[in-house]
Amino acid sequence: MLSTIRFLICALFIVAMAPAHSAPRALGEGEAMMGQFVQARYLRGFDRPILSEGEFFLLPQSALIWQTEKPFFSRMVIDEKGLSQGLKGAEVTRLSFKQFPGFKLLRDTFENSLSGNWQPLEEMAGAKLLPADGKYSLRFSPKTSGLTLPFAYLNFEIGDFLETVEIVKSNGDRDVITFSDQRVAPVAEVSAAVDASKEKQP
Amino acid sequence: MNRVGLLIYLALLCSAVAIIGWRLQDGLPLDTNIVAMLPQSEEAEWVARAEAAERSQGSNQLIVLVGHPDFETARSAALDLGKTLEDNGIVNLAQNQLEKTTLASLSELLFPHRTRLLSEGDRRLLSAGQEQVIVDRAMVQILSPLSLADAELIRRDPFLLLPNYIAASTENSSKLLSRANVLAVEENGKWFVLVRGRLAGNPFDKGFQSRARKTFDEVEDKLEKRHGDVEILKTGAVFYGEHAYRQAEDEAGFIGMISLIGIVILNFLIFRSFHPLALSLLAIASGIAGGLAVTLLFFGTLQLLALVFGAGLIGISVDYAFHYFCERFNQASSVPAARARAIRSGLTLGLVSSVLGFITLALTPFPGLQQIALFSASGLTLAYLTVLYVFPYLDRAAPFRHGERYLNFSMALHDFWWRDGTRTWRWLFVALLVGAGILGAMRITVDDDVRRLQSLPQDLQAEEQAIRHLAGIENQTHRFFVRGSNPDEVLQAEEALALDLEALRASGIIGSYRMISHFVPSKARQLENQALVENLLMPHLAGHMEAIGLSRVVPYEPTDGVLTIDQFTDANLPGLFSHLRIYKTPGIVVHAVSLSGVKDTAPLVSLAEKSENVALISQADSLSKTFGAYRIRALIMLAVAYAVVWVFLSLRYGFVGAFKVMIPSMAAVILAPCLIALLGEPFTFFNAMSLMLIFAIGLDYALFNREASGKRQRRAMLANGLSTISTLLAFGLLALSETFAIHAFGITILVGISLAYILAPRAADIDHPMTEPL
Repeated sequence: MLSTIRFLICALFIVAMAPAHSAPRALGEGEAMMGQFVQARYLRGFDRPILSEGEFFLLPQSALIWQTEKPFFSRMVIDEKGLSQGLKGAEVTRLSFKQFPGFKLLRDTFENSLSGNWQPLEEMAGAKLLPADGKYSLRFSPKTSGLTLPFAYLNFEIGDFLETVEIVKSNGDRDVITFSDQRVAPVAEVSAAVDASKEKQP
Repeated sequence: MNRVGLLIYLALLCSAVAIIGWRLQDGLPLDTNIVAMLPQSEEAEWVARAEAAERSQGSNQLIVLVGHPDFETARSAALDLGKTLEDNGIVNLAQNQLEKTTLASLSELLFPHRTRLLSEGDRRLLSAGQEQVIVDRAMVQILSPLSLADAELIRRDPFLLLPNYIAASTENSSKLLSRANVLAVEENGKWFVLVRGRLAGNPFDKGFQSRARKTFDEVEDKLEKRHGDVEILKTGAVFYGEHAYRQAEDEAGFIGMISLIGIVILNFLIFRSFHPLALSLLAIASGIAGGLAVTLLFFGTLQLLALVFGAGLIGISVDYAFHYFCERFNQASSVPAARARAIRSGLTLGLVSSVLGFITLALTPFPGLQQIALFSASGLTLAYLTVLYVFPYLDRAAPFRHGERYLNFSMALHDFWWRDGTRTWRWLFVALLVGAGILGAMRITVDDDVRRLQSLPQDLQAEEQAIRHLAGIENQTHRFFVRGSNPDEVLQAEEALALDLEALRASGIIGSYRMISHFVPSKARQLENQALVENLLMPHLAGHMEAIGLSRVVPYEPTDGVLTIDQFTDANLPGLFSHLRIYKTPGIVVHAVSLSGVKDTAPLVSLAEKSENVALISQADSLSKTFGAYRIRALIMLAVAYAVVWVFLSLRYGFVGAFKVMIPSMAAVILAPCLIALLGEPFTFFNAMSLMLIFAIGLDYALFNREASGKRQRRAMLANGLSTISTLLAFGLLALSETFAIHAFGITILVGISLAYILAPRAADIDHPMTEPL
């Protein structure tokens, strides 16, 4: 009997000592984020995925800067109004969210997921973050009235921060973006890093 | 002579009725197009037609925004509204075609031509040998996580030429977003959904206007009951037209009734008989028939302004009738022919003076003024024949036994001007008039701004402004019309114009411009583009395909033919461009080039002057200029008319005598604009046109005073008084109108005719009366 009690106490102790699923982190007031990304575009009928990698900078409520460094340097700034892609210092693409409102949702989703603000995404998806293997996941398939979305659904894998997002298109194309080296810093510091990163342009 | 006159009258009247019957077989060809009043010239004709076509396009539009805080409610209410309007035959909805104009359907049409369609920026890059930028751009866009390009598109267009072409050519400033198959905009927490369509009827047809208004009111109530607090903003010519008709109808009903009652009372009060009224109507009807017939015979159509002013001028025919019937107060003669003889001199001189004045007006190159002149001259002539040669046959009545009181009273004004005892008052009155005239002259402001002259209802204008603000529709003040003998020629002309416009854009003189060739380049331009792509871009294709992992496909297969504008209907041409296609007839095609953010018009004028196939249009300016030109021309011709009449009257009165006869009319014409300026009224085209009426009627008053002497003076003064009262009742009351043009006409007549009547007795010459009839 005593051995049974001892076993139960030990078992409880072990359970109690086991690592709990820590909730994903969210950016606080005045905080911004920067890190690395690797993107693989899987296009149907193509020989291989198209790979790219670089740095990203998230300035909440302001802009997401997507700086591709491989296979060559380019820079995309996504703000509230739309996106602008630059190449060798010149703008080559401008896309207004007025023309493509579905992209505005994708942009907001990127900002919310990168900054750990999962509640609005859970509400839109009608689902909660699912814990698995010490991490979380979310399948994001929002119900929007009449908005044509540039994706069928998104799969998120989340550790402390967003680690991977898979963007699945309705035609079967998909993009897998993996984030690493995320670092939270004051907005001013990230802004300075944004300016400094321009220097990388060859 | 009387019998010959009657026969001439009958022949003319029968001819007039026959002409009217022949011309009106297909209804009254009333021309409401103000541009048609412009001088006809070879250069301007196509512009006038283009403006008319564009106005017709614009006036057929109905735009409504349905607002509600909840998008789904706003959308549902908008769809309800659209369906009801369509079911009731009010509009053909544009929404039905929304699907057809989506990016996907456009892409399908444009895709085979993708190597021939290059944006201006891409052309510049290729021409400058910077094709690598286009290759890299494609790569950047393919790599973007927010990419528009899918596998299928990249496989068939790895350089993404078409999406970049569409993005560059359809960039627009509208705030409306495509959502759930409707166009919508969110502002201050409220969604506004667009309902847009082409009217199923004529927006200027009163029946259609009433039906549209009724349906709209009913559906508004229905939507409120079904969807709660729904805000509806609407605009379209049909609403403005309906308002204008309603206002005109209300005013015409009110003012017309007062003036009619007044004239009938006046007739019964003075003549105590129905007979004069009936014969006056015969004179008026004959005048209108004569004017209408001659105008239709020479012009084929009748301009609205000519009808309005012409009908006003032949109101003088009532005055002729008054002079005839006032002769019945002459107890000494009971012979109707004698009555006609007594007034013949004054009537003839008055008619010839008026006709000479109108002939002068007809010499101007303005069809509008020519029509007014011809209508009035021919109408007055027939009215004149009616009074002199028909009235005596229909009038068998004995002289009036009453009227002494009226005759004596009407001489009060004459006595004021001629009695020695009133000399001081006379000078005081003249000094007062001159003083007021000088003061008014200093305050005269000229206004040809058509926007103010239109006096549009404020509530409808506010709704239109709200729609413009919400939808981000810029009020484009200027545009070009470009002409060619076929669509491709017009596209080439646009591309030539674009070179200059690009320079103006770069220097900030214009903000931007849009032309159809931005979307469908000319054949020559497409072939140039293809050569650039083949020579400069295609050598990079293999490397680019290798970089993105694409093999086993031939993305750019050669195709024959070029994209033409004829491949697009108005339904599948994007809305940004469809309204630029103005009209196409065999041998002549006109497109518009829209301009926005115009800072300086002078360089644009210079551009238009470079080619006879390019015309600069400013809707408001061009109409304002038309009105301004008319105003000045009318004043010049008025002066010329006075000079011609002076010469004519000199034959009877001598140069000085003729001038004296003309002084009251000229003083009224000069003083009227000055006095109304004291009331804060601007001087416009409509005021200038009213002066023509004052010229003619004022001369009549003066001539009757000059021709009458002895006892007849009293009858002439009574007839002038009656003419003045009837003219003021018929036209002076128009001053109460809220429609600016009618108000301006009315107030000028009110002041001018009053002055002409008051001053007319000075035309008499007590010392040298006219004893010899003409």
